[in-house]
Parts: sequence; structure tokens; C-alpha cells
Amino acid sequence: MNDPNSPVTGLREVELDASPEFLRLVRNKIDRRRTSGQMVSFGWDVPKTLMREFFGLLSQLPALLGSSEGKRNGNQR
Amino acid sequence: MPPSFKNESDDLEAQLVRSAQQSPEGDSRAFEQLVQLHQKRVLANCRYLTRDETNFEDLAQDVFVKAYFGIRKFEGQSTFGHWLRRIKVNHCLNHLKQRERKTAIGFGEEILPEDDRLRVEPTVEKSLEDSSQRQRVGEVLKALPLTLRVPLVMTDMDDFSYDEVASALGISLSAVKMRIKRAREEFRRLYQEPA
Repeated sequence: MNDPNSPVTGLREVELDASPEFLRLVRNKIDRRRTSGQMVSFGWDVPKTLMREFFGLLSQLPALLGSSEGKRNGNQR
Repeated sequence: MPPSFKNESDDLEAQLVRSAQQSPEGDSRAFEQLVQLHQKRVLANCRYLTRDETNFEDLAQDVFVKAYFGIRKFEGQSTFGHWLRRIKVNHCLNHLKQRERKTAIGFGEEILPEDDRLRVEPTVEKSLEDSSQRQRVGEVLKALPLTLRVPLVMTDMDDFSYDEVASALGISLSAVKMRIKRAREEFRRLYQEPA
């Protein structure tokens, strides 16, 4: 205490009691953030998957149409 | 804390950190034990750093949430406690800055001369023995202005170096030294005054 520049070492021991709810509230916040993260990634992934499927179908369309044309022509003969 | 106890608690902490890092998603049991180890200090720091009586618990919870989602990136170059303190200080300073925008109270750079006499070595001081003393410390911290309180809490409560304080607050090293010196003087003066 004599040296006015010395650290106030008692400050290192300062603590506050947490409320009994503290841990539960931390857990809830973690769960909420995880869920919202999953929602965001779901929001990104669903349109991506739909687009991929759609373009996949489009790319197969000529082949499908060609084969059904061929069948129809064959039947007409 | 005696050295052997400190080593034991450090080992336990390191073990818990490893468990928390390896836990599958959704299993936060190891992390919750880390919360229980540090919650009292984090709460006290958030309260005295921000002096925000209504939000300090929320801030402390947010600190742990950030730590939870960042723990896999924690490489163990410092202790978990030190890593957590950095998260806490950054979070509290951001909170103060947001509040500062509303109230126009700032950290404000002060240009102060470099003074070697301000370099001080830590000395052992009588520890705080009972809760009334702790309560008094809380009152004195609350009475300190923001510009003195934040550097004092960061150095004497959280063990940050002067350089770390300077970089966190965005002020010069000489300003940090001067503020800490003034904060300690002011703290002791207020502490000795009758409550």
C-alpha cells in the first residue's frame, strides 16, 4: 500500500456470485444460436438443392424427350 | 492460491477444454464445467468494466456463448482463462462503445509524456478477506470514471499488460500508464474514505 504505483492486488479476488439461473440461461442462448445457425444453413441449402435438382432434370430432358419420340415413331410404323 | 492448487486447477481446466473441444455437437457438459469455474470472475469483470447494473449478467452470458462457439479454434497458446478474458474485454468494450455513441462519453485519447517512473513492479498487498471489503471495492470501482476504471480493471483485475490495454482501448502506451497510475491513486483515496 505504501507505493502509490503498486497494483491494487485485492482486485484479483473480486468475484460475484452467479444466480442459480445463470448456467441455464447460458445453455439456452447456446441452443438458440445453434438453432438459428441451422435455420440459416437450411435456408441456404434448400434453394441450392432445389436448383441443382431442377437443372439436373433439365439436362436429362432432351434425352428423355428423344427416347419417347423414338418410341412414338416406332409405334407409328 | 498456493502454487500446487493453481497447477491442479490449471490441469483440470486444460482437461475440460480438451473435452469441450472433442465433444459432439450438442454435448456441452464439459463446457458447462468451464462456465462454473469462471462465471464469478466474468460476472464481476463485466459489472465493473461496464458499470451496467441491468445488463452485466447478459454480457457475461454472451461472453460464454462466444467462447462456446469459438472453443474449437482455441489453440492453447495461452490459458483458457486468459483467452476468455480477451473475449470478455472485447465484448464489454464493444458494449461500452455502443453506449458511448448514445451518451457521448468516450475513452478520449490524452497525450501524456512518457515517464519511466510510472513503470512499476507488482507488490503483494493484503488480500480482501471478507465480503464487506469486496462490496467496498465494488462501490469504489463504481465511483471511478470510465477512463480510469477500464484500464485499472484490465490490469489489476485481469492481468493484461500495458501494451494489451493500449491496443484494446486504442490509446497510447504513455496514456495507459498515466491512467493506471491515476486510477490506482484514486482507487486508494476513495477506498480509504469512510463509506
